[in-house]
Amino acid sequence: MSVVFGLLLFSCFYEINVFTINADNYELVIYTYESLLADPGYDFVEGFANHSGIAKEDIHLVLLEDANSIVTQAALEKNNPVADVLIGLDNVLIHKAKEEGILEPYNSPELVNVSSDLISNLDPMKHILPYDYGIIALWYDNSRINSTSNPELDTLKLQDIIDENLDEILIVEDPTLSSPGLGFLLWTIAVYGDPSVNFDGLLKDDWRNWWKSASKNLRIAPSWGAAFDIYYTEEENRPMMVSYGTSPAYDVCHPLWGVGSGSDPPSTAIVSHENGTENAWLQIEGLGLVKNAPNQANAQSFIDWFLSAELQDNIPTNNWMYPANVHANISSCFMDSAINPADVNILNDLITPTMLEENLDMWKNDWETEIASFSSIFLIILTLSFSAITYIFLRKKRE
Amino acid sequence: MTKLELKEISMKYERKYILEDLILEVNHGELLVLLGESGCGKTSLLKIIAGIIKPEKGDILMDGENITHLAPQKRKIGYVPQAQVLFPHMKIRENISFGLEAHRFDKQEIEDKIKWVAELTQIEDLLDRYPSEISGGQKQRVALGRAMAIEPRLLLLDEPLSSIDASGRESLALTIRRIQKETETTTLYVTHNQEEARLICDRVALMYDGKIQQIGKVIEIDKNPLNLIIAKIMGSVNIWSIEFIEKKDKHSIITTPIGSFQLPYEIIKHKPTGIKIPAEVIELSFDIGSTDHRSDTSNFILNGKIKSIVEKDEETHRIIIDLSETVSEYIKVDCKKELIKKELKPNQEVILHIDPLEVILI
Amino acid sequence: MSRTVRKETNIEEIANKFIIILAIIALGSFLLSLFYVPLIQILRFAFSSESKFTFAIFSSTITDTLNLKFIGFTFAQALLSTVICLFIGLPAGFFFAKYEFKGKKLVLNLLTIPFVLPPIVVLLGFIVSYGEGGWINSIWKGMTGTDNVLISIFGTFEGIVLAHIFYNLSVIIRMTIPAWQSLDLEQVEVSRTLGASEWKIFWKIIFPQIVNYLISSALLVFIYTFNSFAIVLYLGEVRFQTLEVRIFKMMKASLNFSGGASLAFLQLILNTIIIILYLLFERKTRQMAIGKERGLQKEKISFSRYNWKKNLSIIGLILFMLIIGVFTFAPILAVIIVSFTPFSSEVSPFFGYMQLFSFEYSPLLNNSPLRLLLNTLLFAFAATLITLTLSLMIVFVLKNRYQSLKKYQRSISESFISYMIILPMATSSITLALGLFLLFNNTSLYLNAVWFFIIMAHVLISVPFATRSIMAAYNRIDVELLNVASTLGASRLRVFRKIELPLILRGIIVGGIFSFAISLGEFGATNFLVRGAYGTLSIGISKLLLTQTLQLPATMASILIIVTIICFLAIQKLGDVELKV
Repeated sequence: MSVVFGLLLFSCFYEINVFTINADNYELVIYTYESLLADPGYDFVEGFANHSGIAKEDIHLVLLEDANSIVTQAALEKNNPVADVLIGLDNVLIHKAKEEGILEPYNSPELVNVSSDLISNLDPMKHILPYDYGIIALWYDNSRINSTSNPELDTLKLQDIIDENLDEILIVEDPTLSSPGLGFLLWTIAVYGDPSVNFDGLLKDDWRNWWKSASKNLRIAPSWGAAFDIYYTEEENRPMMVSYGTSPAYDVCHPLWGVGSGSDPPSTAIVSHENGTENAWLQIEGLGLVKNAPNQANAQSFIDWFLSAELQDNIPTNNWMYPANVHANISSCFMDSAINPADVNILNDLITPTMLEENLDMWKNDWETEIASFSSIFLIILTLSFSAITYIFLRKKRE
Repeated sequence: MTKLELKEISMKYERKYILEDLILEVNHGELLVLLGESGCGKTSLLKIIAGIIKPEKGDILMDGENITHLAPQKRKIGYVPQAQVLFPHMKIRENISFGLEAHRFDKQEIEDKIKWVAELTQIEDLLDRYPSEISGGQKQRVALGRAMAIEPRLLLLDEPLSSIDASGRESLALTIRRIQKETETTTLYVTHNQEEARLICDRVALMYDGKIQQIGKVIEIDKNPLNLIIAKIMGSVNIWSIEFIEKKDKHSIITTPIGSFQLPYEIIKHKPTGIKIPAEVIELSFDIGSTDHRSDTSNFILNGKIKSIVEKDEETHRIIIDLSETVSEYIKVDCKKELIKKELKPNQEVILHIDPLEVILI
Repeated sequence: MSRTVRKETNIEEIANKFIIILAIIALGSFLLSLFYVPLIQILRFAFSSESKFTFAIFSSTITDTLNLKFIGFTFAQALLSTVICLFIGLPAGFFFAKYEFKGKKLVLNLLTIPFVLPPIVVLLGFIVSYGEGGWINSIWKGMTGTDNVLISIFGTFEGIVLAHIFYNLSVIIRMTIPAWQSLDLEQVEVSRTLGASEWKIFWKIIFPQIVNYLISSALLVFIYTFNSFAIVLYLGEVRFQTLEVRIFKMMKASLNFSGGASLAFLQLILNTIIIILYLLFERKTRQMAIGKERGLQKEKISFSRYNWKKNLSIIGLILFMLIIGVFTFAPILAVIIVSFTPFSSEVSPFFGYMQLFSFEYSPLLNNSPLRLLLNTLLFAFAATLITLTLSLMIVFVLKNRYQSLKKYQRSISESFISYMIILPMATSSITLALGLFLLFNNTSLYLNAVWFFIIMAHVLISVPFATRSIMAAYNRIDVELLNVASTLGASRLRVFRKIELPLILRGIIVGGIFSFAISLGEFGATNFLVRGAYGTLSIGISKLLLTQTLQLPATMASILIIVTIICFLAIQKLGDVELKV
């Protein structure tokens, strides 16, 4: 009883306490998303502890659900920062992060090893520094669908997805929640254009039309992981999903279940072939230094280390992306099975950062509107009228 | 032994006064019955005395000490409510010891008191049962015992016999009376049943309209009810309201639902509201044809039919006579058995003779 | 001696007053700091910009076409689910009220199980049974030999409505049984002799008698479906969002705090209206139920050789019940079966149960499944303990006759507190979590000890339930008992300890089990608040919900099912379940 009382009394006073305690005594606090370097798993906290001499216990790793939540959390703590480093923001999310003013530019010495293209594509101001990249691609399971059964796959255009009924077997991620999902949305926008903002894209059409036609049959998953699970379950009969150009490498080079580079790959990644080019959206992931970070020096040395070859060597086969550091080791297995962004036409160039910044919210909102235009609208009318009848009936009974 | 005084107690319920400037005194060691119709505020009054409800106005004095603002816990008043409320989750023994424990008696004292109370209320063999396992009459004894255990300065009983079956009533009433006498506990006993009052009380207080209207010994009130309502509450038979009074020199004529009476005297004092014809003063004659020798022009004569005959006691029959030939009223007549010579049958026609001097004005 | 007696009662009385004051302070500070201030924080986000009052955010949020669409959807799906539930539940209620058969209670309890299960478990069962890869569609595919599915539950209106019916059907069945039982059939007989048609008898005689029960049970289902979260979050994809899901997505995906807060405020208003309506009608049914013993004559199921019409209707009813039974119970069974079905040829049937002890899934779950189970149980125990303490305090303060009985009317504090707790009742779990989040998210307590807020959210959700359960037990106590006890010299505190507490013990236990079960499966608020390693089984299941390895989530769900069923049966043993808010 007294314990409970204590707890309750505490509950009314803790507010005062809470604002005075701060961030405990960690020497480094990192926010990232749950699956960073997680499969099969490289313990980068331990790696940095060994590298820097900071005790592992003094490094606090906070795993958030996804990249979105990292920005949310940091934005909430803006006035009283807890985290020092944010890992996992991409070239789209950067705008949100900049808007919130949560990051501080940092010119890491390791950036000399990173292609300037990547840096300028992600953030020329260096709020966020690129650590890996890869293109968004459509990824399918060869055992269930292949260019023999569907010859259009070899020269696939986005329009083919609708025309050849591939939308019935495709899983996309919700762009409001997931970064590959958003990458795919921007892919469609870059290809079709948006007349409402006088953006021609490749085809001078309206991206909304594509989604309007496709939305009925698409399966929309909340995250890449969820999409992968649906993809993997054969009964669901959806052997194609929005993923990365590096995804086939996962099936080939994974130390546990990879089939090895010699044999036929179990899966294939493809991009779209409009106007005679292979087009894809490039996703660049970066990490950044938090503005007014409590442990700025440690944070900077962590960022340096994260961009150094020591860590970057682990990117391909643990995070399944291309490492930003040009000197990082990439296995030939990975090289052979993944699509190299250098080989495709990067659509990101079409959409300027300003355009993206100005229109992103509108695009997401319009996407949701396209998707939410449910055909069952008549049911609503039906229900409403039914309830009206019941109501009238009840009134009549009363009289 | 405690003397209880209530001074100008008033209480409202939903904007209506149910008690209004009520004054009452209960003497040391007395059992006073508070008699009134249901809903007249008797129960509220008890709750006010017990301290469960606070009066809007007025004072409660116990032996001169003003206890109006004292918490019920400190009043040491034994309260036995109408519903037989025993603590359902406690054995009878625990029910009785509840108050004792609250008053922090030590273990031995509690044991002794339980024993004493159990003997007093004759529930020795029920002590280890639960309330759900005993009868209504037994429950009421336990409730009484529980109240008596704390040796209250005042005992409040709210219709203690009302939910008991007829067979147990009298014995419980006698038990209450005995305990009250033995312990000399000042007791206020609330009931709507005048028979209970007659059975048990020292004095009776009649209550209606939020006030005590008349207080005194039963016999006195029977003889001289203040008004028709009190007469009714007291359960008097053969009472009728007076509809009209006509005064003539030396006598008066009063009109009632059963007819008009000529009284050989003048009504001087207060305005009477009703008449009472005591059942034993009515004489009957059964032979319709023959004129009775006692017949006297001054007597008031009514015709009726016998409705039913019941034995009132060993010597008397009570005959209920239907006056329907004149008015739709019944009149009750007590008749000595020895005077009834012939066999009486229902529907037999009779003539009633009433001496106007015996008619009591209320 | 009397001197010492008086002194000690005085001390007890002071203690009593002290405890009441303490209880009021504790209650007040709890509600204030964890409910009302967070609520004000929501209002601040919804109605102020740069610390100035503005109506613009709220009005632009609720007039946004997308939001309007989702508001419309929220109403439409709730209405449709409720109406269909009524149509199925009413005859089923009739069946249970009318017919006596062996194992009737068991059948009724089995039907109720989906309702008492955590939403995420129900969702899993629903996906396992009716999903694209679920067994119903598999059978269908096998029968038709095509790849077309019979039912598609993801991203379809029907899927959501079906899931809601499955979840809430038992509410209608259970709540209409007393309606049929309290029916006055004499009137029916009379009108039948007067030559009224059966249809007319139903509308003129029967319907008016059961209408209050129908409305109150319908309102209850409406409340549940209106505030549905987990089911719509996963089945609706993005196409369909209830207000609850919309608020969640606005907060978590768009970081649109003001918009989320505005919608939360709108939802709170709507909920308050529905709850008040519900309480009104529920009181009416309670009054109707009093003193009505007769009603439908109970009958054994029997067939007569001559009356084929009657036989046919009985067979029809039984078939109908069988279908309902399969519809509602099969998914639960399916979850347990799946937990023992190896997802690949390499693993044993006990894979899921063995996985509980491994860390293989830790990267995905942020913790081992065993820790999730432990968290779940610890949160539930803590939440139950705190909930019961608070509910008892509420009851004690509300029913503190020491002060209030002297006057005949309800004291001001009593009315005040009873209004204070209606609001938490009408607050959806997402809104509760939202308030806590908006107020505390940048405190270090939130960052490091989010379990505290998860437990508190569970407490806030279950306090109204527990309080109602205890209050119901309390209201059965005869006031005179307490009066007598106080005239016998027992202080207020002693009366509470010795008389009231033992008499409401059953209510307390039922309330405790209720809050335990609620906390056990709570998803919406937990999911909103959870960080890092403090997940519960519900969160774990939700993360694995769409995976190919359904065996592990099914195992976790089976554990929840078993614990919940034990709780439910315990409540059943202690007395009738009140499936009410």
